[in-house]
Amino acid sequence: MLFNTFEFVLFLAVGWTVYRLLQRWRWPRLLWLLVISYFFYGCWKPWYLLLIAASTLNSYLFGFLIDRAEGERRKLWMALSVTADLLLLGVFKYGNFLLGNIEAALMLGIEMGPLPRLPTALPVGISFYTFQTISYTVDLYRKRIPRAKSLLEFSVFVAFFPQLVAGPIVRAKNFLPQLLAPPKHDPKAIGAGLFLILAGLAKKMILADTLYATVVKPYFEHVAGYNALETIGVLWAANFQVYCDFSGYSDVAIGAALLFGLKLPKNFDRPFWSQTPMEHWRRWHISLSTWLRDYLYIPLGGSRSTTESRVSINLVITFLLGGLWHGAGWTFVVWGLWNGVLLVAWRKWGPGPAKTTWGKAWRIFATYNALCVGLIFLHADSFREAWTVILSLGAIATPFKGAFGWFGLLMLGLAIALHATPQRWKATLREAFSIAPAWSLGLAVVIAGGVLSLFAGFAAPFFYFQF
Amino acid sequence: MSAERRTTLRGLGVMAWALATSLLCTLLVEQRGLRWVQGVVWPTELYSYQQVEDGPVDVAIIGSSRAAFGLSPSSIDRCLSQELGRPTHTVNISRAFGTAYTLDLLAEDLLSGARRPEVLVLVAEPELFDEHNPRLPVNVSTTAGLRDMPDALAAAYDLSGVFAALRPIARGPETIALYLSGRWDTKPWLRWLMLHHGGGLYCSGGEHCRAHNHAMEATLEDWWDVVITGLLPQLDEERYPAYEPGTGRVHAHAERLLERAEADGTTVVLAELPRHPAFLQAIPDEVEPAYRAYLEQLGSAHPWVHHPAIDAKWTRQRTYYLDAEHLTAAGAHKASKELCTATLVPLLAAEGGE
Repeated sequence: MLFNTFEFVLFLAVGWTVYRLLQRWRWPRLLWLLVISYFFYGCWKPWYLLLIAASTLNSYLFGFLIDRAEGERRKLWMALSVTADLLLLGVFKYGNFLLGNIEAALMLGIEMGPLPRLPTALPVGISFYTFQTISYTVDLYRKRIPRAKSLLEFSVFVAFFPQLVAGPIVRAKNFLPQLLAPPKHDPKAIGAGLFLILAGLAKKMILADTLYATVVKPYFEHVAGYNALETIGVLWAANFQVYCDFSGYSDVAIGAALLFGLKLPKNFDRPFWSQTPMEHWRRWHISLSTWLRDYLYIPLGGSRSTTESRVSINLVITFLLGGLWHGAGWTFVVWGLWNGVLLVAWRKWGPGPAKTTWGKAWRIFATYNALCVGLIFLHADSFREAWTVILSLGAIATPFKGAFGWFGLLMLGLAIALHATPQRWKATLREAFSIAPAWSLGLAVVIAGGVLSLFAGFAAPFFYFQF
Repeated sequence: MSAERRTTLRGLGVMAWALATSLLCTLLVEQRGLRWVQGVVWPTELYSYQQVEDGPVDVAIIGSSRAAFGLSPSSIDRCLSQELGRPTHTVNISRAFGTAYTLDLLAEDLLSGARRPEVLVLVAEPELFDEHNPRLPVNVSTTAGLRDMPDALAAAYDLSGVFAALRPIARGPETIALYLSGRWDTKPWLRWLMLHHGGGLYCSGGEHCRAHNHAMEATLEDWWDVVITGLLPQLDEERYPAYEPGTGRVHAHAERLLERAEADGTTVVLAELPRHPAFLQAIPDEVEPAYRAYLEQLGSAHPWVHHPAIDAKWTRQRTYYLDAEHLTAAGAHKASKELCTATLVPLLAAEGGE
């Protein structure tokens, strides 16, 4: 069930109404949240529920053991839990990738037929909820959080529908206390939540989907023959498309959670205003960046490592695995590698803090374009395709092939303008929604539904579902 | 009033206002007869057709996408006018995913009054009469009105049926937005086909048609592989999960369609278009006998002329098939000509002579 469908509107309306009826009683309230979350997830494929239930049970039971144990045994339970989680992710996300690579390696030496493949496609959301369950067991091991009081509460933490399939990745220390506390009653949250939902859908359906359908998809379907300027334009469009798609999804998720009185963490903070790649990753997909920092980069030694080269290696490993998290393919690995190397190079040779406006503007421009280059590997289906795109960046004399129509240009312009909009304007609009009378909010929902349906013909699945 | 109560009331208030506004929009849309302004699932040229002046129709074709691809009105008109010695008017209002449910509603709205056809060609196939066709919810969601909601809800047998039954709630805002933006006009080639070539997805006559047909085939050139590798291996699941003709809404609408044609004095031709052997092999064994038995049952209650599937000789020719169940322009012209000479000419000549 996608956020941008009539089905989701009905689901949300029914889910919210019953939740409000049950809000006074903790167990019925949590049970209802779990029922609708599992329903939401089961709409994709019912057997996905087995996976999420297995992942939940694994972390909950090991959490129980970790909590009661001390010393090495505590570490053992944590390691077993994380291994089981990673095994689940590995089989379903990387199984076929691994088999394909083994097959290719074997075929170099011996004559053989193709190896069998797993019959299933990647279950949506598995990368996200696996990271949540891992963070729970590791935090528990580190004694940073108390154990979840009940399986029900923990199941809701893992499966809460707004963030289940594409984040933000929620931490137990932030979310579990919210589930246990008496619900917050804030009439303003209704308007604020609706504002975020509508704004997120507009970003997704009006900007991301149209940029994808009119610019990015046609370009990456036949990458040959474009000139440098067009290619740069398409990479800009692709970057904004991914941003509008994913931040739009995050807005809807945060807004929907707000309707239920629950707060999800902010996932984007105008990332394209970053003056360095380091800053970019602090503002982009914040819940993943901080997860990788806390559970991978710091355990590797982080920035406190004794030598600069060790810090660099830590960074590259973190981004390499971050790339692999995004997809089971070598292009994703190279994308991660590009970003890791970029960070290391910037740390070493990048310009210092800017003192003038022009200096800031130049750094923003340079950072943005450097990230765009990496994006080639995120969109290209193969290295051959990526190489063709890279070559196009030097094709200055090639005539224009027509990557952009006026509509694509308009959408890119709108996306840039939206990104440049002062935060206080958005805050003012959100505040206006918070206090608007119910009739005007109802009208806004209907008008937005009508307008957004005009863009349904461009509809594409949320970009981050594939991860 | 407590914050808890205020929060709940505010949320319910928003929903009530949204629901009321939406329903009002849908009522308005239904009142204005804008049923065919819709752009998400179906192309919207039907609204253009609805707007043109009424005129006599000799032959009307209805069916699913197979009929939209497989029979070209301009081909049929060329053949008919040559054989009958007078200009004729054929239209094809077939829809992708069509079932008897939709076809009845389309025919009721678009082929009534002065447009009542002399001959109604119903392009039959097993899916057309199956109450459990997985595409039925799409039919319901695109055509059901507010008044149909209770029946559609009662007849829903799965969740997609429930959502489809409730779809009229949102139809109003969507349709108004499409109408006001003029978006029902955004596929000019479809409109051109509907208004100047009687619908169908190919046309015949002139350079424009040749270019259009070629472009159409080029756009869909990978369909053959998509169907062979993607659809056929799971055809039973995708198309016939529980094949059951002769029951429920689909049957009721099939009956209604035939009864109305009978009452109007329209001759019904039950035409069958060729399917590629690869497709026929993929159909589950139990489907064909059940389908034939249903046709027999329906045919015994309502008179029709049967135009059977074309001989096996050409069904093997790959050039006639866009994919295993849809025809290319060449296939459509051949099928149209055969329908015309074998069935339509004798019928219309006899009616003209009376």
